[in-house]
Order: sequence, then structure tokens, then C-alpha cells
Amino acid sequence: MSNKKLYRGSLSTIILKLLGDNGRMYGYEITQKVKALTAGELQITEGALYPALHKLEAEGHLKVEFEQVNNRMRKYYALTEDGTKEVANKLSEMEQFIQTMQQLLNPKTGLA
Amino acid sequence: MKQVTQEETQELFNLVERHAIKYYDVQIEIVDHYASAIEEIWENEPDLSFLEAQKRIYREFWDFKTLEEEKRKALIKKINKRIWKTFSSWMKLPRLVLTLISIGCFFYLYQQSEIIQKYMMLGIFSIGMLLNFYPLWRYFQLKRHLKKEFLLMDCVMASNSMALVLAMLPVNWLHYDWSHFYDLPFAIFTVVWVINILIGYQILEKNIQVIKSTYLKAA
Repeated sequence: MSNKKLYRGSLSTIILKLLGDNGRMYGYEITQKVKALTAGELQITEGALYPALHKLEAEGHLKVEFEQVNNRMRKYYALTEDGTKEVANKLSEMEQFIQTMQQLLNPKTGLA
Repeated sequence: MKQVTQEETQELFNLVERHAIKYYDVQIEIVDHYASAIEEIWENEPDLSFLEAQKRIYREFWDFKTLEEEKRKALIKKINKRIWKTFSSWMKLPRLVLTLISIGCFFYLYQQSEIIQKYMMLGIFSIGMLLNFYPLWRYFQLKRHLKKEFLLMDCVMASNSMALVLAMLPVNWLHYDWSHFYDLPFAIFTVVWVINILIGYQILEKNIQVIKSTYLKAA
């Protein structure tokens, strides 16, 4: 990921959106899903993913459940009711941000 | 598809432990991530040995200790939020009525006689101590049984340490002249103290149950 810093601020939004679309997911699955969706352009590191997941869990946006898979325990994350509302908020914030950035970067388009 | 075996999973736990990650609830997530990554490598290279696959993943792996610290911060935040939410619920309607009635009853009974004062305070403080230490004792039993440490409980105890300090306060009062507390602020403080003990008990118990229901089967 060449522009890590640009994506870092959007990590929570990415996680919430993915969980909104896919239901419950586990950590490794999230990293692989992001990699696949962006054709390898965005690769979330574990060091960034897990703290973000734990923070969202602490804020009450995510709930967790454990399952025994292939001889080991797996922790699944899913949206809570609050988390579902937060997805809508975060996405609208993100759309607003993208629009503003477009206006700043392509001022001519804005004037036309 | 080739899967990580029980023995190999244990090797991954040992590896994480060698990186000074002693908490089982932190280890589980790292081990699953590690094992999932290895299994993915095996999808394309099924003949690769576990050790080789592990080495390959290990090269690109993250700082375990930072992960633990970040989880600790998130857990403390979550627990403190829960403690404060529970505590403030006692100060809001309809529970506030119960809180005020308790203060009133306590104040009334306390003024009746010195004997009632002493027995009442002794009773309240003994039950309070029991409620504070009984879950701790249960947790230590559970820990001994599972032979594992849990970051969740370390954080619960860190957050609950203020409750424990408060819980010990009445011990100091026994040395003073009891009539000094023959007033309303004392009644208010005692009721808040009782609420504090009840919340501490509730939080400890809830998290012991979480550990039991989540990890007892897996351990």
C-alpha cells in the first residue's frame, strides 16, 4: 500500500462497510476481502486492522462471537444495532469528504 | 484443503507466547490469523512444510506487543464506559427514587441508637467486602483451572481498583468516633459506597461469565 496514510483515517469506515455487506467476518477474512476488492491496491496490515476492530468493539459498534474452526478458536465480528447506524453516518461523511476533495482538486469542474 | 493441525496450532501458541504475549484472549486472535495465512499459502503450495510456511508469514508479521497494548486500551475504555453507564443509571429516574429512599432509610435507622449504628455498619461493610472479594476468588479459581491469563480480567481489575480502594475506606472509619458520621453526607456516602460495591460485583461477575462461556470449552 503506497499511500497508507491516506487510507488509515478511513479504516473504520472500510471495516464497518464490509461488515454491513458481508455480515460477520473474522480478521484475516477482512484483510483478504479488502485486498481482493481493490485488486491488491489496498492491503490492510494486521497492526492497523486489529486495533481498529477492538476500538470499534469498545465503542459498541461491533459484537463478537467465537467459533471452533479447524482445531482453533476463531473470533467473528458483526455489526451491532449502533454499528449499523454508524455505517450510514460514516458513509455519508466519506461521500461528503470525497466531494470536497474533488472540488479542491478539480476546481474547474466545480465552476462549470 | 490442507489445514493447520492441533499440534501445529499449539506451536503457533508457543511462538506467540515467546513474544511475551501471555494473555490467552490476545493469543487466540493472533494464532487464528497466523493459521489462516498459512492455510492460504497451502492452497497454492500444498507441499510446503508448516515450518517454511510459518517462516514466510513470520517475516511479514506485525508487532505483537503493540497489538496487546492497543487491545488493553480498548478494553479499559469499554469497561469504564460500562461502569459509568451503570453508575449513572442509579442516579437517574426511576432508580434515583430507590437511591433516595435508601439514603432516607439509612439516615433514619442510623439515628435510632448506637447499637443499631454499629451492627448496621458492620453488616453493610462485611457484605460489601464479601461481594468485592468473592468474584475475585472465583476468578483466581477459574484461572487456575484453565491455566491461562486473560487480558479482559486484568483490565476489569484495573478499572475496578478504585472500587476496591473505596471498599477499604470503611475499615479506617472503625478507628474513629462514630458519632462524627452522624449526618446526612455520611448516609449519602454509604449508599453511594454500596452502589459502587454492587456495580463492581456486577462487572466482575459478568466478565467471569464471559470468560467461562467463551473459553472454557476451548481450553
